[in-house]
Amino acid sequence: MRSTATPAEAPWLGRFLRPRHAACECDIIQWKGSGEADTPAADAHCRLFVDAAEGVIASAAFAAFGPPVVIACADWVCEWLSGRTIDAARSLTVREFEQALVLAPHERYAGLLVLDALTGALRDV
Amino acid sequence: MSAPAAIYLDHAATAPLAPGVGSAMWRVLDGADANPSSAHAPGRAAAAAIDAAAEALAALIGAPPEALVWTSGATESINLALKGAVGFAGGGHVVSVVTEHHATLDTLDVLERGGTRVTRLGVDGEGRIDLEALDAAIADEATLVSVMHVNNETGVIQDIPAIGALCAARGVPLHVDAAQSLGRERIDVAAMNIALLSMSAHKIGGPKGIGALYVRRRPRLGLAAQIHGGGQQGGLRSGTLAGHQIAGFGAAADHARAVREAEQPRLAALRDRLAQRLSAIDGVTRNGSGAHVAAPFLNVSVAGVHGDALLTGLTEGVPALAVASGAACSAAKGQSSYVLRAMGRSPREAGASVRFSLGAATDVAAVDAAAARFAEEVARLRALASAA
Repeated sequence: MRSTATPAEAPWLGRFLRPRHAACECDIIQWKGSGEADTPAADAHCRLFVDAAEGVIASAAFAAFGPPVVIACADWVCEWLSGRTIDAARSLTVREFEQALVLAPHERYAGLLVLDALTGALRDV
Repeated sequence: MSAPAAIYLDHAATAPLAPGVGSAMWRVLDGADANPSSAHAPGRAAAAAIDAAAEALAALIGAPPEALVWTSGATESINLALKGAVGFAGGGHVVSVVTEHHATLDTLDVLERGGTRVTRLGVDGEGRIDLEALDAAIADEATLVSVMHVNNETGVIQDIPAIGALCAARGVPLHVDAAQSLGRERIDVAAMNIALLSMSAHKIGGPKGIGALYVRRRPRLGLAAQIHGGGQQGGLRSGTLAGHQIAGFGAAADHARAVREAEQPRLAALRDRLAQRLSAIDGVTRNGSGAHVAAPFLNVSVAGVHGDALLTGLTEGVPALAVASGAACSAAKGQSSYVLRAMGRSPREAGASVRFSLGAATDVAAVDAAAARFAEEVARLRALASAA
């Protein structure tokens, strides 16, 4: 269901309209790790790309199909990951998404979707 | 209207006040706001303003003014028409269509739970009902037929003259939801064999909160009142009449009648221009063909983008487009547009659909800017998903 928050007031709106970490199809092979996840009914899909060296994530990018909040969560996590250790990334929970983007309960699934994609990406690095 | 920065292409939701409406309302508020049921001179002045509005609205639909019942809007009119007709008859068989507005569908659900038999006809890929199927349903002891003239999502026009002829041939009254057709399509209740016609003011530039139901006088059609009280309007709809609202509706009707012949072709040309530009975008398909779609409407589905993302991107981006989607909920939950799904679109196609509805202020610049913005947003969302 579409967010009941007024979109103009939703904290995730800016990230949806102006994401800074979208992956380019042209260079996805350069990324060391990638993981993807779908919502159960395939209404949304997220793929995360990460680069890491010596246990630290250098950068991350995303590609996503889905509601605005999915794109916002994917963009936010890419920013959050940069400079963090892989161990810190593995300990990330949906609570951080909820707090950072002020997700409504019905938007929580977007954070979980992105977390699932992140789990897959971290397996490769 | 609020949001002045937006390109407003949502006239099917509501239209800005038409010229003369605000002043007509103010004249009543400022000088004729007595109770129109009162016998004294101020009351008669208020009643005269209402009579003038009734004349204007009646002229728009080819009806006698005394056949109008003022309501709070099309939803109440539809409730009065359906519940009133069924209630007066003590039940029966109502024939309607799956793509009706929820004002009709939900009312029919209530009637069905109360024991009324309801048949909901399907539509073809263009959103039109099969007249043979309708005739067969009418022949099955139908007591009322209810069909919307112009669909609120797609703008698809049902063939009301033919439907009315079928109903008349079998002696079954026809109720028409004209919320989206009033002032846009030609309506002649007598020639079209319409027994009941539901109307709303704010779709034609009148104020919100006022509507009307045309009730055929001859042959007499029995309706059971749904709002009881002071016995106003022949007991069909009690409550003190809102003179200023009615005057506004009348002024909007006058304006619509004056400009319709010129305005609708102008909007059709703009709509076709918009459709042509959008059709250049890969994966855009039109819902409803031009020949059977009311002039201001264009509904398109877009492949490869998510409906919520597209609508939010259009409405919140720059320049903002004030457009609508038939899909308030995600396609995955099966709650995408029931109208488009009834026309054979997949849930995902129905989910990523956008309705443009043009109006008096729409011009070439607005249409071209909207088309450019739409193309830009589709490209942006597809790029975000391209590596997924």
